Amino acid sequence: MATLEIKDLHVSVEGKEIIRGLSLEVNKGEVHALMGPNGSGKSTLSFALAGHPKYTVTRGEARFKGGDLLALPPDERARAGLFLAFQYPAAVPGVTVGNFLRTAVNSHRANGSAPRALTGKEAEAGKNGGNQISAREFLKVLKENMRILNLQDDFAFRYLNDGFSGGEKKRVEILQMAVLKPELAILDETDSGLDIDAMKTVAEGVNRLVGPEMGALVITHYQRLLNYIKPQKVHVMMEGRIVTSGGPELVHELEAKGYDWIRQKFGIAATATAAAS
Amino acid sequence: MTIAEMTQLVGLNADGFSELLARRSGEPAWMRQAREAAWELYKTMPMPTRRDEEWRRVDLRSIRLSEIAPFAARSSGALPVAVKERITAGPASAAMVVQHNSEDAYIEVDPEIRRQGVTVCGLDEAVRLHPDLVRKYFGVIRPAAHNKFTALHYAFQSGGTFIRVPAGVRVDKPIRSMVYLDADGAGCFPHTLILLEKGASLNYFEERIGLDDGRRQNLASGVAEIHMDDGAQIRFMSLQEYNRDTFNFSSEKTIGQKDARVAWLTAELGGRLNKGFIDCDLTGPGGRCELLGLYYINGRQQSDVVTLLTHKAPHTEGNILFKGVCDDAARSCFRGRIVVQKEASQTQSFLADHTMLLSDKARSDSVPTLEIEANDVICKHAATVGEISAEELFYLLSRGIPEPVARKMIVLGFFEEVLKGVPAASLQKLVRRHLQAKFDVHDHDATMPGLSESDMESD
Ligand SMILES: Nc1ncnc2c1ncn2[C@@H]1O[C@H](COP(=O)(O)OP(=O)(O)O)[C@@H](O)[C@H]1O
Ligand SMILES: [Mg+2]
Repeated sequence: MATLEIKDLHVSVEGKEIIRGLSLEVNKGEVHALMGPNGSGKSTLSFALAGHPKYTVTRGEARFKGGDLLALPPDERARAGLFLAFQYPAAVPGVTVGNFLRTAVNSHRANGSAPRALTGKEAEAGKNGGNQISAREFLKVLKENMRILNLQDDFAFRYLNDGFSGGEKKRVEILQMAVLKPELAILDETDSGLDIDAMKTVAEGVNRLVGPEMGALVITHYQRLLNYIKPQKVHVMMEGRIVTSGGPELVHELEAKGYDWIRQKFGIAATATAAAS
Repeated sequence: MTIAEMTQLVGLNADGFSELLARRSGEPAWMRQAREAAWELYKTMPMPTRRDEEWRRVDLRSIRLSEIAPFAARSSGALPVAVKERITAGPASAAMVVQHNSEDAYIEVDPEIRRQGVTVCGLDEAVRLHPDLVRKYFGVIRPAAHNKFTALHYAFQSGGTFIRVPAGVRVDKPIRSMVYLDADGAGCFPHTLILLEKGASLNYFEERIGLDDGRRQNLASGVAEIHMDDGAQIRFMSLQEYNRDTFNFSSEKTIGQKDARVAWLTAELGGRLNKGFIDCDLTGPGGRCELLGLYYINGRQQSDVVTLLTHKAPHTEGNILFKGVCDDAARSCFRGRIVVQKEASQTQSFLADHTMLLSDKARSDSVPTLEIEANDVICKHAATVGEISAEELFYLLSRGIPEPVARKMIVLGFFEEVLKGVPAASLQKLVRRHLQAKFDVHDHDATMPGLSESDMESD
């Protein structure tokens, strides 16, 4: 049983089928690259796995650690150990990175059971009796990880993604991953908008976590990032399906010959994916 | 309240007014005349209806004026425990003035500000101790004729706070004014009169609290008048938490002369209905006014606030920002108005209000008005009414945060832009706590697991 097991998945958005029979297995300790031209459905796959309500699974299944992933609401999927680094993370004005992430950590620790209702004073004193992380302990962990990702301390107190540059947003996604320690991370174009130094920082952040405790599905449409995060397996996606898979050498082949080579080889019309962003 | 008191003093009507005058027989003649004039005015003014533009969104038909006592004595000799708790929960103060129902209950003034010549006392006491000052300034910038409930206020006024800060004196720790209403079926008419002389500076924090077990209607109609001489500064912060049976009317006006600085923040959480008028006139060059407000209402609460910022002199700056959240069947209206008079060239002024609706039945309107008569002016407005953003919500969920908690974070986060404007960190925390508490009472599941912003921010 693989950590993440997707079988014949079909996903529709607003009545339009985008993912059309996709199968994939990713295990802890493995890095898989998912490559494909714009509009091929990479983000749709990520959203569907994360449980976005706009993305409807019409057929097929996705199992996570043996359980039915699709039966869980999005917050439970996250607490089960699935993480999605968004291609375009939303800004949440008024909610600081620190408070947000500490709440997320404590939600994981509360393990899905309804958080105990605390009255003001009790909550303030942190007398929640359970395994909740204290502010002090949390800040230590947060600052350590921010340092590794080259994020200034004041990010803890800035509003989540509000006014962040593209690169800062991506680094804050990796920061969240580092603090939440998922078992499987989907990184959706985490390299886009990053300069080479920032990309190296992000890649190091990811490499630090990949191992026996975590697997990763790295989505990109350039080979650039894959020079720094080494995948064991590479999948090429077109029109909502994985058309071919291979080892790391496939990255270079794609780089050299482009997606048209794949299209020709597998008989896919060039028009289908051309217009999408 | 004893039965004797109830039968003795019920009704915001002619009988009630006579009773009040009898009770206030020791007052100077000018005060009595002011009450009588206000009462006459009140009788001639029609009750506002939905046809009156500024009252279109509030429902006054259910007020039973004849069942509301014009005066409510303190229910006990000692300060209620709830009041003591509120005093200690708030920031350390330079002075504390507490009114319990219609009566002054407690006052404490730091001897240091006394030495500096600052006067702080209950308004009723000021009528006795500083009659000349009160007579000169009382009812001048916000006269009884402003609206029917201002007239009612001047007829029945009891309690409130009087503050005078002499030229050049800065009062940094807040002077606090608390009104605690635990009488059921009572009227409450506190008057705030603040005089700031040249270059004087004041931090003021008022709390209006109602005990939440009333069955009968209460009515509060408060007036605040703030006179600011050249270069004076005020940070005015108000937190309103009357109970759900209180019809709350307030009418506040500041006049700031040359280089005056006004930083205003009002937070409305309580009341069955809030009808507020907040005005500021900048009459001298260099004056600046920041008017912030937030409200969070649910159930069948109604809020309708009118702000009017008038630039009367050149080189003045203004900013109005209101944020509100309506849940359940709550409804709100915000009427922001900025007037830039002909003389007020080279002025800049901004008006923004944003409302979040948390239920299908909640409703909100925004009625912005900019009236610009001067040239060389920058004046803009923005207004939005929306719901919790689906993308923000999904983002928080995707990190494992349960939905009720995620919703709470987004709603409370929505207020932060305004809360940041609260001058003191301790006050900011207090208001934040009260917003959270209101949310939690409404939705117990939403308690954030062990999250306390105070310890995050104190590091
Ligand atoms: N929320 C959405 N609403 C409508 N169409 C969508 C939405 N998300 C994706 N799509 C459509 O699905 C297709 C695949 O998009 P996407 O998954 O973003 O591709 P990729 O990430 O591979 O670039 C595109 O045609 C896109 O327009
Ligand atoms: Mg994409």
